[in-house]
Amino acid sequence: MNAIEVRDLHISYKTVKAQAIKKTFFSLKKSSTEKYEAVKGVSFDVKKGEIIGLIGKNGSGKSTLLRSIAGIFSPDSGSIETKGGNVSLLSIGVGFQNELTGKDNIFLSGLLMGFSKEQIEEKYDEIVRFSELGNFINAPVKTYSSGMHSKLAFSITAVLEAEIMLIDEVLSVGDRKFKKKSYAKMQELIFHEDRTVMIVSHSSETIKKLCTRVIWLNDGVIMADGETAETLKKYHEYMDNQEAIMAKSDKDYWYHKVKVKNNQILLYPTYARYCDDLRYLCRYMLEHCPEWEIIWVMRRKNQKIDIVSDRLRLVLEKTPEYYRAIYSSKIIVDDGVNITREDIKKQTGQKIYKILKGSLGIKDIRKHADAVRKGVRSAKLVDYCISNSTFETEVYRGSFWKNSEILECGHPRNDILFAEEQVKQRIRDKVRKFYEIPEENLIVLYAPTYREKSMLEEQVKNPDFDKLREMFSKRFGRNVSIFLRAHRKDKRRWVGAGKTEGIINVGAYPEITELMLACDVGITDYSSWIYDFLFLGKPGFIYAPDMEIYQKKRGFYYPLRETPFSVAKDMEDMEKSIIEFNEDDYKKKTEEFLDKKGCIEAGTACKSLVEIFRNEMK
Amino acid sequence: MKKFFNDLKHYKSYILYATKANLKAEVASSYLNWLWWILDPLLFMLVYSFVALVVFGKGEPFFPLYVFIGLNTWNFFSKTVNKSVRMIRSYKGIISKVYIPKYVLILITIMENLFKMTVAYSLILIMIPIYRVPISWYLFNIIPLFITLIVFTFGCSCLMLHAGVYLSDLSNIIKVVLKLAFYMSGIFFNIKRNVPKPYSTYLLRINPMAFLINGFRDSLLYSHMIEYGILFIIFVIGCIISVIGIRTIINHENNYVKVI
Repeated sequence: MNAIEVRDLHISYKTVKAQAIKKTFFSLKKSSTEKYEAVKGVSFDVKKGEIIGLIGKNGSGKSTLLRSIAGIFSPDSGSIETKGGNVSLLSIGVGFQNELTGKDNIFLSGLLMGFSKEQIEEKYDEIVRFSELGNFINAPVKTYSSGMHSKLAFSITAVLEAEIMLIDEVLSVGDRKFKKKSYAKMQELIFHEDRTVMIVSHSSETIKKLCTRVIWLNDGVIMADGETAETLKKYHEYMDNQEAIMAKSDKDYWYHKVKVKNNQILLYPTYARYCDDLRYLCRYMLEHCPEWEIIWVMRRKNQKIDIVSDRLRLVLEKTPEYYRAIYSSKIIVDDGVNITREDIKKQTGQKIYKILKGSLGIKDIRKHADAVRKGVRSAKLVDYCISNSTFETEVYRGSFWKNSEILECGHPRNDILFAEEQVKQRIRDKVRKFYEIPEENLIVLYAPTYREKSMLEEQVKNPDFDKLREMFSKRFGRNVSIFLRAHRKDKRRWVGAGKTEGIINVGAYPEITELMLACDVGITDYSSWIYDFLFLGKPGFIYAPDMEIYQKKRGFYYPLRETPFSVAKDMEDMEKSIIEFNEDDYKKKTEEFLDKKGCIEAGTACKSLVEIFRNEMK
Repeated sequence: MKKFFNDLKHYKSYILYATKANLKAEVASSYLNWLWWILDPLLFMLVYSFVALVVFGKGEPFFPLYVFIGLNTWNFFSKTVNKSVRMIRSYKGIISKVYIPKYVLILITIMENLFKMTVAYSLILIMIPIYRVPISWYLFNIIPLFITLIVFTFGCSCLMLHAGVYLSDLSNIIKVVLKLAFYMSGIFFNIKRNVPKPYSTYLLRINPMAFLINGFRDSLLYSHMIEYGILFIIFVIGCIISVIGIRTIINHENNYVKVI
């Protein structure tokens, strides 16, 4: 026997919006009666005792369908027949008359559900007991808390057992205790063999647990109707697919929709802890190029960006604004291989600039985790590579960017290292103040390169920081503070940092460039920041206990011995390096090194780049 | 129309229970409780008597009763119509959760106001001997008057309920219109005597409320026959707008939720 028969049901919302008289009188046009069809020709039968789950994305017509079965909406065409007795709809929000008491509302709701007064009287005590309202039942509903509201509503539906129950997302209400109770009651009701139930839910778990059959609605049409697991699977597959199509069509849409704007420049940053190029470039452009529209790509919502300006437009990755920005920017500057994150096509006239983080770095970028895949793709798109030395130019040429033009104009991030002494002093003071380091203390920055977890566990031992402090203290005759900074993805926890005095984890500090300016000595293993550090002329050391293994795995462009730094493999070596450190010797070696690498860095990278951009925009 | 009478039967107990509950709730929070059903019309009678007798210095025989009848009859009509305009919005909570024929809501309001009017008219019956009003058989004319009043009020309310859904500021306009009608219905003055000649006749014949109120007074206070011809026309008009109203509501009621 069928409990519900739905035949070719159409329901539309005529958006004859409630109008103000003014509008009706003063607009000559007939009120805009847009028609929105929520349910388009749906037919199905529900047998008595069946438990049906209704699924579908938001706005697919589930609630409308449920409400029309409950008789609240009238069909525009087609028919709904509910056979046998009373229908109750349980949905979020409750239909009470606020001035009336809980008791009166119980009776009124019951009468509306089609029960007689006597039937309600019979069940009245049970409803009150279930609702746990006690004496509040004689108080007006307007004095109830929202929890009491929903408890009462739930109890009415649960105790006055309607033969057809329509449940819209509400399977349990109230506090934790009541939730448990109401959920249990609901299950009992649902599983009763004479009861016909339709449940709208977005939780696949719930549907799987309760329903014998699932109807999947999409844009008002039944896409599938059948056994639970099977229909759910179809639904999930479809939704995943849709998502993919959506993202793609967005991309294509904007590609054709927008035109390249000549004065628009988009900065696509890597959010590593060592990516200050775009930050400095951005600041410089904000200050010197008032007529440019500058856009900054964010990976996550509310990402922290410490550039304060009304002029800087932020776009979130993979949003329509983002695609619009990508396809309408004359110039895109990428400080990694970020541009390959999206499978984008280049507009005619668009130019893409790439900045390498490594510069004079020792590590072979070709051996980077997914360098090959992304590098090849990036090379297809990038027009110009920004370099600061003949060495870096060779790196570009020797890896993926064989056909891009190379601009030897230096790195924006390094401009600050060549700034006037005053400017540098101000930054130094800022960092010292931030970490409360006394003026007389010597700061040692230890920032090792990234290693995968497996490599970390096996060979890498952190230097003994207490011993380091002792050594430097002895060598330079000052108190020593040690700054520790790990790679963003590095899972290393600095045991002892913060606990021991003078050892500070500076991982959260945004710019390594500023840390470089603030510290007096730098230590790393293979990280490339130390080669930028050379421009400051401050002593640098290399502590590399796993040199052979790392070299084998990653490959070096040149041997560590060729650097101006003394290389230590353990604490004993380290002590020797520190004690034997000779400033003049170090300076000479630095000059030789930079010369050999053909370094042209001079603190004017931003200026030269902006000049290049300006020409490009003409 | 068949649906209307079926619904009447089906929702009879709901209407009765809701009426009772609403009336109870209305006075539950006040000190004097149900006494207000008596006090309210009495106090207003004093106010309007004061205005007419002391301020304007004009009166009618049995003037307090004259005002009392006018006021209560008018209140029944205006309160019902006024509430109907906002009816769907104020019952939104229920309407969007369960089906209910919307004229049932009007019937509840009519029942409430009818109850209050009945209380008031019982007071009149008590006051008639006190004021030594001569009693006559014309008294029974109030029965057809009542029926016509109810049918007419119901019809107007149905139309207002429907219009109120789509025109959100209709209730403001209705307030003004009702105020105007209040003065045109001669609640506390005699239209025949205070309005210059042809207009007074027009008012009494065209304004059903003025006619009905006058009819009540003629029957209760002045032992005067009412014009049954006009009463019948008003009754027929009342029936016609009721039928139109019910039809309109039945055709549109399930779209109301989509609009509000």
